[in-house]
This record gives sequence, structure tokens and C-alpha cells, in this order.
Amino acid sequence: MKVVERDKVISGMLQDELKRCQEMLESLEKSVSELPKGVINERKKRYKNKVYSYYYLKYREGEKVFNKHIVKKELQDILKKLELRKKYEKEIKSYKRKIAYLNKITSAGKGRVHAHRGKE
Amino acid sequence: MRIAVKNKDIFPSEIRELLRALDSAGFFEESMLIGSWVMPLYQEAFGINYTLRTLDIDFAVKFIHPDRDRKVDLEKLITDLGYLPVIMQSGIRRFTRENFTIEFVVQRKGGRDDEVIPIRKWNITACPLPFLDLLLSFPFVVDFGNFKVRAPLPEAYFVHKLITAQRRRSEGKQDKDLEQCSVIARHINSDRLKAVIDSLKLSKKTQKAMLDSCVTIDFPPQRLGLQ
Repeated sequence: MKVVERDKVISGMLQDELKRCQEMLESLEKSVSELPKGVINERKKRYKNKVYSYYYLKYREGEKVFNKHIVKKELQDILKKLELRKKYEKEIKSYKRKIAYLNKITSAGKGRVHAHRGKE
Repeated sequence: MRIAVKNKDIFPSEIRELLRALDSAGFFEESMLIGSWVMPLYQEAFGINYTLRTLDIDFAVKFIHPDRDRKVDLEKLITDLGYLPVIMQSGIRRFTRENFTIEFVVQRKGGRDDEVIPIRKWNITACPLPFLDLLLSFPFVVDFGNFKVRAPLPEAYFVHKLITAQRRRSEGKQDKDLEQCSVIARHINSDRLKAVIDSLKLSKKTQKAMLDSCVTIDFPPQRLGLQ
């Protein structure tokens, strides 16, 4: 085990890793902002002994909740994008955790922080 | 040069899975694995022991004219493994899964300053970098039995790092490059090193970069034909 500030290579790698994660996070957040958010709700209506389904995308903007009608032919595409959004959000969370961790261990002079280096 | 490895588990399972998928698509017929993830191959094949790894993996792509060969959708292949495509600010497309990033790089054409090169054959984009042809020209292939991986010979990797270390903006990356060089230097094969050096037409600027790196790692520049 070596102290981070005493090993330039490890310290540099951690700084580069932090920068990489920050760049990735920024780009992931941009990607996710282009995807729809919310959940699909189905409403059924009966008309002349027939049942019709209507689909709505329910999402929140600040305090307000919106219900946007989705035409049937766009439904599968929206569902795919909502699923993709979940994956991006999961990845964003993982990068945020990593950044918090790297910030903690690369903060100079904030106590003695250690980094592992495998046996050579 | 082709080397069969005895230890098949030198890569974590996620990377093995990725390498196997790329090999099955024919990617390693001309393109190769580069960056710190070649080190497990060097350890196994040449006894070069360097344990630091980054959480990104780089591949050098041999640029092929788009119409010359069959097209393979690497983006689909990689996203099928659970990676997400991410367009970076530069326009380059990377892939990420649980903090682990895949990036492709390609030889930079002289006089061009493009930030992104679309590689239509593979349906990917690659970041153009100088001196990659040096790596691509001196490959070796590691055979894992059910898949194989192409990587640059350590002597080519060594010379490449000697040059690029001095062009780094990040001090951390420069230190890492030179540390890798000093580890590889102890295992250099003189004939292969000569072959690499003889293939190069070095400008004075590049020779100076190599000399500076040699001084830092205490490597005799005469072995590179430099005074």
C-alpha cells in the first residue's frame, strides 16, 4: 500500500480517471435529456360494446404532472426509449458514485488516503 | 508472431467476453488492443510485469476503405453485451458499462485535424491519433484457444510511448507512459527493437522527444540509434 500523494503515477491515474468519469457523466446526462421520461399508462374506454385502449405518457415537470397521449404506432418506440433511459440513469448513478469516491481520495491534504497497487 | 497462452484467465470475465466478441467479428484480423490492457498479455507472453490498469479499454483500428470489405455492426455487437453508446462533446462515440469505457482510435492522417473519424466498415467512430501505424505495423497474436487477440509487440509499444509521453498534456499520463516504458525496457528484444526503429522516419522533434524520454527512464539512446 502506498500513500497517494507519494506516488505520482497512481495519483496522476486517479486524476485522469476522475476527469474521464466527469466527461462521461456530462455526455451521459446529455444523452438522457434527449430521451422521454415517465411511465406509460393505459386507459380503456367502452364504446358501443367495444373496448378501446388509449396510451398516455405520464411524467412530471417540477410540481406539475402531465399526461401526454401516445398514438399506438409510436408506443413501442416510446417504451424502448423509456427502457433505454432507465439504463442511462443507472449508468449515471454509477458514475456519480465513482466521482464522489475519486473526489474523496484525490482531495489533497484532506487526511491520509490510501490507494491499492497490486504486487509487482 | 503467434503465442498460445497457458493461463486463459488473465483478463476479468467482462473483458474476456468483449475480446471474444470482437474476435468473432473478425476485428483482430487487422485491428488491435492497445493501452494499459495489453499489459496482461505482455506479462503472459514476455514476462513483463506491470499491474496498473485503467477503467477504459482502447482499440487501434486499421482504417480500411469503406467499400473494400464487408461491413460489421460493432455498435450492435457491443450494445448487445450491455454497453451503452455515448456521444462525447468531441463527437466521438464511446461505449460504457458500469464505469468501464470502450474507445476506438485510428491513425491520424498528416495535416488533418479532425476530431472524429467514422469507420463505416465497423459502424463506429474513432479518435485520430498520431503514430498509431507504428503499433499496427508490429503486431503479435495471443491465442486463447477459443479466441485470439492482436496487440502491438512490446518493442513497438515501448517506442510509441517514448514518443507520445513527451506530447502529453497531462503529467499523470506522461508519468504512466514512462513508467510503462521503464518496465518494458528491461525485457526489450534488441532485434525487434531495431526492426521497429529501422521502419521509422523520425523528425528532429520526434528524435528529441525520444531522447528526453530515454533520459527520464535511464535508457541508453544508442540502442535506438540516437546520439
